Amino acid sequence: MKWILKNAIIHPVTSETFRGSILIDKGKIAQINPAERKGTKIFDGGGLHLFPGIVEEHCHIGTHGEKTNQTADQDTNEWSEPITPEMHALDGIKIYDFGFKMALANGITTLNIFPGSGSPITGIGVALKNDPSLRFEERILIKESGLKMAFGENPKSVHSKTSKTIQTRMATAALIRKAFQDALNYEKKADKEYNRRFEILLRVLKGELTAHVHAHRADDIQTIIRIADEFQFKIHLEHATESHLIPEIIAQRQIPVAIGPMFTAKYKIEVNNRSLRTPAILEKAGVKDLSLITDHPVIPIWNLPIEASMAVHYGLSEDLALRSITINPARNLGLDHRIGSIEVGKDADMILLDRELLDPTHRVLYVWTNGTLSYDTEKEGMVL
Amino acid sequence: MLIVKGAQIWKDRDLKRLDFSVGEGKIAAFSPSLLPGPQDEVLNLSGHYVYPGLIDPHTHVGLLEETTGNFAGDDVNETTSPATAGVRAIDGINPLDPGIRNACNYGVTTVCVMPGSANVIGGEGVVIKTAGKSVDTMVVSSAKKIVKMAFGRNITWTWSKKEKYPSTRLAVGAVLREKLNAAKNYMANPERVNTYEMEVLANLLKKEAIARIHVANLEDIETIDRITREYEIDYVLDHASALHTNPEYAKTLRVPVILGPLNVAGKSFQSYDVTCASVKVLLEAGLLVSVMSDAPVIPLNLVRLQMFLIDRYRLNRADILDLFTENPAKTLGIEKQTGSLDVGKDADFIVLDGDIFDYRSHVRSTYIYGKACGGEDYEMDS
Repeated sequence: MKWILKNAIIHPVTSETFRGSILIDKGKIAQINPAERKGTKIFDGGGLHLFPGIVEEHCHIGTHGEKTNQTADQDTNEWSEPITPEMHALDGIKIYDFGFKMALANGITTLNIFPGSGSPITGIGVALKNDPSLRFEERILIKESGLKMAFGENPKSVHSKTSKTIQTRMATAALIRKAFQDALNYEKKADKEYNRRFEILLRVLKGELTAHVHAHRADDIQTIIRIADEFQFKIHLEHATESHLIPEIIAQRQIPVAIGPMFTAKYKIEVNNRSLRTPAILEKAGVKDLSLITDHPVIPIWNLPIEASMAVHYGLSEDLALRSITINPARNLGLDHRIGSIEVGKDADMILLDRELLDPTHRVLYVWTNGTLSYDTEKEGMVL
Repeated sequence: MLIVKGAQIWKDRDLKRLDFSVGEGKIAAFSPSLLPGPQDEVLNLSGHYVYPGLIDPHTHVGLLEETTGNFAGDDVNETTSPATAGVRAIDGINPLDPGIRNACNYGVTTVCVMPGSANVIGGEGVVIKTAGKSVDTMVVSSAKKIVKMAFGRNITWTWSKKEKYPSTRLAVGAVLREKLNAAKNYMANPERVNTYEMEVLANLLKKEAIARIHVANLEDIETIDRITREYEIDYVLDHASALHTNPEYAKTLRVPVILGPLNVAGKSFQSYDVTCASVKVLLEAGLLVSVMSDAPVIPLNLVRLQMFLIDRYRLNRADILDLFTENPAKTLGIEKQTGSLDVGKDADFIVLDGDIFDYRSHVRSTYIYGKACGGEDYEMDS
């Protein structure tokens, strides 16, 4: 169906803001400032602010049961053994979990869902379009969106108790090295039996799957850089809490970095240097590939644009702040050709707000996914 | 005297262009233009906004210390007995906890610090100002005496794990009745031997203290209402996460409520009904409403985020500021001392470089008893 959204202040994110209209056709953004034709349905934006749907690069919605907090409803961490690349977040998602509605009502239209951080290698993530009108399988944007790995306190605290394989950061690094070495040895074998675990690790080594590495401390960040150099694979940093202590290393190597959750207490030693100034410090050092994450349910997903606001409060440019919750996470997921900005040819995932997105007092009024109205706040209420 | 000149002042529920003077830690006078004498110190704040220091009526700062790693500095729940009326928060507070520093730097000048929610009777809470190195000098002694209590899952979860009493809601109510009965008998006994625990509970029965009751579910709120009526004690509902789901019932409860923390996900079985909408519903029900951070659950450097979120419900902004100033002052019984900018009150105020609802504005400095003691940039210095 063709329709026109007119009379809005349109913030494409990747280009200058303008007042105008857009034509949506077959779920895609078809034209900017189209001529109005008879018979085309028109939605009046009322002079309000139109932004692209927000992209969450790192959360646990659907695997970490909302409103229950019981083991029965939690499938985020398979911590029976330390190396489990064959786990897939897709297989643990409860698609009607309340978290999806919470995300949608607050304008988050794409969700990348990772396994947790309890093991050195925890498993594969999945990127979903947060469109309630689609069946589960249809919501999948990228079935295997990256291999989740983790350094620091979490694997230590989990596996010193469960599998008793890790006491120190050294063991975390050693187990990861061994896993990749085993995969390489497997590849060389002439008459091998198919082993999914090794096949996944080989895909990382061949550059077909990116390693998304949970690391807080600067030394943990440098350990994974060292290992990635040894085995020649691509990494994205997740959390990177102390990255502002080594911004030149991140900038020089152009490693994509996902900062957050920014709003928790300093409850672990490895997050003691958390600062709301980190994004601004990284930008100043020349880091461009910055995204922000909530790690929902660690902090509620409605905080994603508010993290961008607070980063601006501490000196991040508004341009990078907006990119860090839209086009940058889209690019990190390999989805920037489809989502993350308002451009012709992209999915019509859009949100209409009464104030600018970076103003945390804004209300999300309407959310469209694939050109269809998915959330009407007046009818369904705010979720926060 | 300190003469504060040039700022927009939040006074009588609005921003006004006024100067004011401060002497001996109190606000002395307001005037559209004050002329400083030769002995006076002048603080020129043109282009700035001055608000009363914020008050957080429910925190665990100093008890549940940050940066100690997995809360190694954790003195919040004395879980060796389900009722520990004899313990006092003041004895566990580390005034050097970065959580308290955060409060001061981001505009919170007064906090109530209480034991946690793992005990039916958790102990005595205390109200402190957020600047100082010795907790004894930080105490706001005019505040009501506070006895922390808790109902619901935090208790049954804590004690059922230990396979101990009270493991169900039935027993939670029973523990409270047993203790209040014991206190009644204690008061009636002319030959009583003074025990601290019983004195604390006797204060409740004499209405010289208020019970601050952690509660989430409606059925627990009803039990609290029932028991407090039986023993005629004054109480405040803390969290009250589900109260907004029955506004008609809420109207019948003529007690203050302290809502929050509002910026948490539904992951917790204690708080899954919590929503910023409850502020609106309960204000409309006519209750005295305040908002807590439960710090460090929400660290106090993020205190304004809850204001921003509540603002999405488009309440009157003066009503929103009241949730963080006058209303908690009234609930804690310190409204004659702090909570607004008025002559004779403590000179607790914060200076921002913009409107407090503008996310880009910074808390440039915090004043307690008229002395500069913090501000956002102090974080980098410490």
